Amino acid sequence: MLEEVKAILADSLQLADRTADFTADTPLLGSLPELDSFAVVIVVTALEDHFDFVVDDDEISADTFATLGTLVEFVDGKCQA
Amino acid sequence: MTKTDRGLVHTPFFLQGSAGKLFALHLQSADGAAAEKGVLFFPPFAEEMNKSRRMVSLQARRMAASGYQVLLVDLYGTGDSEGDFEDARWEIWRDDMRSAAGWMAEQGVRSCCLWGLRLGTLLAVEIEAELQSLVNGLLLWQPVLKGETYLTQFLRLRIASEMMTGGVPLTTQKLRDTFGAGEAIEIAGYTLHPDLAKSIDAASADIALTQIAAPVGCFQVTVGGTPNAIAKRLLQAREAGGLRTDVEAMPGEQFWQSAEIAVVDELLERSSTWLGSSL
Repeated sequence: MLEEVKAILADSLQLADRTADFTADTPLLGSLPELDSFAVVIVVTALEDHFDFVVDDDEISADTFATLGTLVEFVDGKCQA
Repeated sequence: MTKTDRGLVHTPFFLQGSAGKLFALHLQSADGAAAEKGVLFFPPFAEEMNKSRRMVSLQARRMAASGYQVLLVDLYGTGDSEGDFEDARWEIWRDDMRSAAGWMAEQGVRSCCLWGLRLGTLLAVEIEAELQSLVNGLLLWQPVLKGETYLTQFLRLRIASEMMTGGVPLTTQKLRDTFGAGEAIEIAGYTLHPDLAKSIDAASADIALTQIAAPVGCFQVTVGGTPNAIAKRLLQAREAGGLRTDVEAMPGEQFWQSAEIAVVDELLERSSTWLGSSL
């Protein structure tokens, strides 16, 4: 799951191989310059398309995008719902 | 002013639209008489068009070089056309694209492909019903089939921007309520009029696509290069009626929304091949 989310991040934000060293603890929001509001929406939409779930408005929060780990946890939760 | 470049004739001009003049670019091969086959482009929404200009221009040149008349139009309130984005309405766009199709028929086009990118799909599908005798194909790039889903994604830009600045948490429902009250909302630099928002919300290609007899080519650029749920739904809807539908997916940069302007060569090549096999 971590690898899949990483691939989607890399793809939708054009990070190429920069995500190679990303771990669950890698901070995203505020640390990744590419991750502006526009990019957040792109990532959310890409996740929806890829995993076929629907993200609710209140789930688009700073907590979800804090680290790669929190994002993976979020995706995990949505897939099991 | 007509310009000839590498065997192609580019003619920029203003097309009279229902609410103002529209900037249009007509491309055709420099050799011989006007082609009877044409392609009319239906633009995507807001910033997606700016991101896509390079891809659209590259594809249009390829088509023209293969002997098609190609027409690119900036929708009212966008690009170099008259009007502010705030003044744009779905009905104006629809009437204007109908005029654009009429203009192509005047240039001798007898068989036309409607080429829609993203939200442009919904406009193309609405017009197809009235132009059946002219239309012999729909080329869809990363099609949006439900306006409601698309508007939600667009409204999220505003939610995400509030999230970044630590503003009051918004919801897409709250934003829709604002439209409901007749107020415009500025999102990512575009002022969206409530009437346009409501029209987008209501637009859907689901029923129309089960009825369009012309071949439909659905092209997607996805993570992993496999068709997503939208393509599968489209295929299912048309399969029942035995209508020709070609779904092609490939990996690549999502050029209509990528931070840097991106080009997907494979999409250009495969679209040209599909067009040649369809009309």
